[in-house]
Amino acid sequence: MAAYVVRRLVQAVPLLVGISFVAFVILRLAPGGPMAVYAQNPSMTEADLRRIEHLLGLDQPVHIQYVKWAAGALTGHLGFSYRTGRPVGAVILERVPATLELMASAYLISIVFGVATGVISAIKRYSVFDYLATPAAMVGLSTPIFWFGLLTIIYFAADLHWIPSGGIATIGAPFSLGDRLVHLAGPAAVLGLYMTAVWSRFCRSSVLEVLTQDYVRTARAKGLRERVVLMRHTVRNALLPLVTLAGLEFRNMLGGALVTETVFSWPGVGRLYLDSLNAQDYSVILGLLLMSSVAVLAGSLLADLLYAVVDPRVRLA
Amino acid sequence: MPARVPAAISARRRTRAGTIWRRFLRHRLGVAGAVVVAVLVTLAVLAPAVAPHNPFYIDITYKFAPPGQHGFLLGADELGRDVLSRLLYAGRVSLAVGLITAVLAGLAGSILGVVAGHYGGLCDTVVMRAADVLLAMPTIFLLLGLAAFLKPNPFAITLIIALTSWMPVARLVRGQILALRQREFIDAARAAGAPDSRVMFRELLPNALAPVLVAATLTVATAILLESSLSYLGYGIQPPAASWGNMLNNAQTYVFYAPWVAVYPGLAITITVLSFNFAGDALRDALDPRTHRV
Repeated sequence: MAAYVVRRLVQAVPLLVGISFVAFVILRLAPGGPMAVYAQNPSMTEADLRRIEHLLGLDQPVHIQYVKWAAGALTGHLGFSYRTGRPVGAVILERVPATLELMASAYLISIVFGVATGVISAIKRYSVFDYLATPAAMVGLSTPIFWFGLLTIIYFAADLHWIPSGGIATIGAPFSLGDRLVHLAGPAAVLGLYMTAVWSRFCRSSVLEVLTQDYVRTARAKGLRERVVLMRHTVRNALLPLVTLAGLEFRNMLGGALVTETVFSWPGVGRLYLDSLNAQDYSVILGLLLMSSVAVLAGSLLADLLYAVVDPRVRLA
Repeated sequence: MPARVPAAISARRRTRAGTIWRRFLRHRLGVAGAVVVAVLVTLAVLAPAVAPHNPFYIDITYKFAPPGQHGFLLGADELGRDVLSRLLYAGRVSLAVGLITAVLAGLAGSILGVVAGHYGGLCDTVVMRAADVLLAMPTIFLLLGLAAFLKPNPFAITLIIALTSWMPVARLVRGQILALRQREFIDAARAAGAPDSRVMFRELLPNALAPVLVAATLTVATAILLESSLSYLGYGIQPPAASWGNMLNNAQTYVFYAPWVAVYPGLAITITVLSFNFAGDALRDALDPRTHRV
């Protein structure tokens, strides 16, 4: 296991170099480069601009800049925000809990609903439920998250006043769990919809496949009750690959979180990314591109390790 | 003795295309999807002829006219423009971006996949690691980063979405090539003296094309979703041009008093994406008899 983890980490190194390189190149594509913000400022003279450029090291060749930035990133230092002057790492980290809260709730909601509908669809194949749930899952996959968010706001916030139209808590109010949950409900349900559809489709085909296995026939042949055959022998085995799927879908969830956070004014990393783009805050953009990719790689490694834990047949080598 | 062919035998004389077509037709939702796609494409092409109003004509006296009033079938937006006409014109942009992206991603993915699978070695490593790098970055983050620094014209948007969509196709094709190149007909082609390019593009690729077709159909769906997200966030198709995504760009600020402005464009996206997804699913079942998904 330890050897496997080490090898995976070693494999991640060239990927991270590639990712950081792509991120760095994107920012060099920027018209005017990172200096564009200052160039727009009427107080700046040409001499000021040159001085700042020199101060930030932007007058050096690109490869030198990249190496310096990468060396800093290795030691956990991602530079300073152009907008606020604060360290990029701190700016990002303070937004992480909100995004984690949102994504964890969305995962939870989607697993409960997705697995339930998928399993029922498979067990009661060709039933009315199946004929409704299976196309419904496709609708879930085809609905743009931001639009579903807008509809949720129109109906549940504007019409029914069940949930607030955005934010993570009532501004100025003291902390209360109920208040936080009411704010969380909308965005978590919206972000969860897509994953619910993914789980549901996956569970259905996974259960159907396991049902054709020899050990299921054996279980039936030895006279086990259908409930035991389904629950203990079929569903339990069919759900194992969900772990892998959760890891694979982490990347899409992170993208979905960005959109959801924007619609619901949720103060997470996705919204920070969009705000940084609007403010041309290059160092934060770069840091976020890198950190989100690290999170995706970590997520897939975690999923693979977890899979070996839940399924003893899988040996990591 | 006159040759009389029994009905049972003549009925079995079916072409492969015919079999695929019949299997596709059995998939009712897939057929419905294909029909809706055809209708949408027709409407988009004919937009100038069928749109009841000029989609760019601003008349603020009709600001937020509700659906069905003053001749606005689906209402008017914040500048008094006809929502239905804008939907039709936006469809041209959104569908074009989706379809062209799928073609570009399908082509790039096929070529890179064939080259990587056929040559192996360094070539394979470079292509597949590039795919890994792009697959590790959340798509929306990457797209926004690229879009923020490009001239945001529809062609550039199409290009960057294709840039982030070719990887699954490349992986798919590469896998197929690795399996195919062990087969005898490749040895035969080589023995007959076929050059590498002929082996790759005339012998290997055509045999790996079925899954590419399916993947490309599904790519149209994801590309339309990505374009709409980008445009909604303000980094995709720029006004005055209309796309289904950018029609929702300002919707947030007036969902409380003019919800129809937010409802119809999203409905258009969902129906379109759903149709491509159903059609793609049906195509997969029709092309690959082994995956008998029911």
